Amino acid sequence: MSLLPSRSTERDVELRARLVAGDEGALSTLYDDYGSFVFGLALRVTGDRRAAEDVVQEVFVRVWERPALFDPERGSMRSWLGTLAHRRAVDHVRREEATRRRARREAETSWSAPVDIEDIATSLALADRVRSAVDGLPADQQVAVRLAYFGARTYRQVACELGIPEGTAKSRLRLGLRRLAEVLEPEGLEQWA
Amino acid sequence: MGVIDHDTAAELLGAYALHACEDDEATLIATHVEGCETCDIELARLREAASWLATLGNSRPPDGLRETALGAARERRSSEPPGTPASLLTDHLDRLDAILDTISGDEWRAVTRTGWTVHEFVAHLLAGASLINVELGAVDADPFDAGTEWEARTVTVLAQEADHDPPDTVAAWRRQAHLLRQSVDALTPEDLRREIPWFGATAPIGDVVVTHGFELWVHTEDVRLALGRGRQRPADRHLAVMAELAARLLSLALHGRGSRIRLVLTGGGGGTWPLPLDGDGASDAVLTADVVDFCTLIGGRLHPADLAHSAQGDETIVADALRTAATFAFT
Repeated sequence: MSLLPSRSTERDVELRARLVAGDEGALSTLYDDYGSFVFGLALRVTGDRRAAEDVVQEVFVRVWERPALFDPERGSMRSWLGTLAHRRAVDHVRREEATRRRARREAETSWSAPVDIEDIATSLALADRVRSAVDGLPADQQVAVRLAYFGARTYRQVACELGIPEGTAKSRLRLGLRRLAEVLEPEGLEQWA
Repeated sequence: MGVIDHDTAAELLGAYALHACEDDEATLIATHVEGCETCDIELARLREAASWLATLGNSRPPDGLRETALGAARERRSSEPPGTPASLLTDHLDRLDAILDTISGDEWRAVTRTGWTVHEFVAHLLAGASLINVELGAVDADPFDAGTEWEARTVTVLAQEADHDPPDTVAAWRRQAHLLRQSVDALTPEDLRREIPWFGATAPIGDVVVTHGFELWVHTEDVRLALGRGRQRPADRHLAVMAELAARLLSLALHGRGSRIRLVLTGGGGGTWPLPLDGDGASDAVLTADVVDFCTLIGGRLHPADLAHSAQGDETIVADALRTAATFAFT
């Protein structure tokens, strides 16, 4: 299973067409290319392997049900899958919070390396690039983004936990992502497979 | 439900991209983004950035998950199977069939919105169905000997059927519909791609079938409206098939104009198509409309000026695309 395919609009467009046409091979390819990505994200956010497996299933069911919802012009396949996965993982966390007292989960403080990597050199290089982009964010933006993304907090919870006004929390999340977008945008990263 | 102003929505885009909003806010933002290209683009960018964060978490799932996940997907899609040209045609043949049984006496002479009577519409569809049967080799000889040129054929068949009672025309149509169902059921994916003579050029059989299914819908609707029976929305999965064909035709027609437009069709069966389909690059404009309305326009039953839609970006490109789409009226 590859870590991630290189970002390519043509490939995304082709996959979309094949999925829409009902080509099952395209769905299998999608799983092989992005299964680890979706599972890993869901695992990081939910902290629960069973929940992560459910998220993976829900995402691929959704993709196969409504492939025409993927808009290659508005983002990559990775971004679409990431959004589908992240939302479901966050929903799981919030449902858990609502039904029972949850142990407070610490915000991520370390970026643990991916496991079972086939192409170690490439994936570590990729992870390094992303990691260094994130480390390059101003500390306050980094913490806020991490809390929201991996910690499944709402911006209000972020504001509360960091003792900042809600407007500031919103702003740090937006600026943090914008900064990441600028640094990681295609030119730098297309070459990394 | 309230509305959110642009600045408030824009401030929340980061949180929204991170799924960090309250539910009610999320709904308001989603609605705003649908109508605001600036926010739509920024949101896409922020989501892209968020997805990079996700790459740090790559983790190999358990081996069994692959089959579980793919199996669940296949099962879900097979219980609500996507529309196919064959299923679209069959469904729309069935719908017309059902209403034909309920028409009697003077109703056959009721005049529809295009000026034809109900009886004439059935004759028109008879001309179409029998032509496809000829092209597919489902009949040895053309039952009307009316040629393959569309306009002339319709005139000939209508003239012949004018001498028959409506029930006889209906019976003739049912015979052709039965043959059509059989031949279309037997078509393989390769068959669907095979080109046959069509309207002076050639077209893949799949497109011919979808076009006839489209036509059946438009004309059945003409009949329903003429008789006061109310509209009948096509199934979502069949709107999806018709919309996909419409997008492809529009893509072909817009080729070489140098501009790009994003077609966003909303409602069940809708989707998004960056046009022309085979190019890439940012769109110069976005056209958003309800999928049924857009198909109604393609079917020649809605004037571009009457289509409820939103346009973003270069409005002349949107107007041009609408005018172009209106010229496809198959009917």
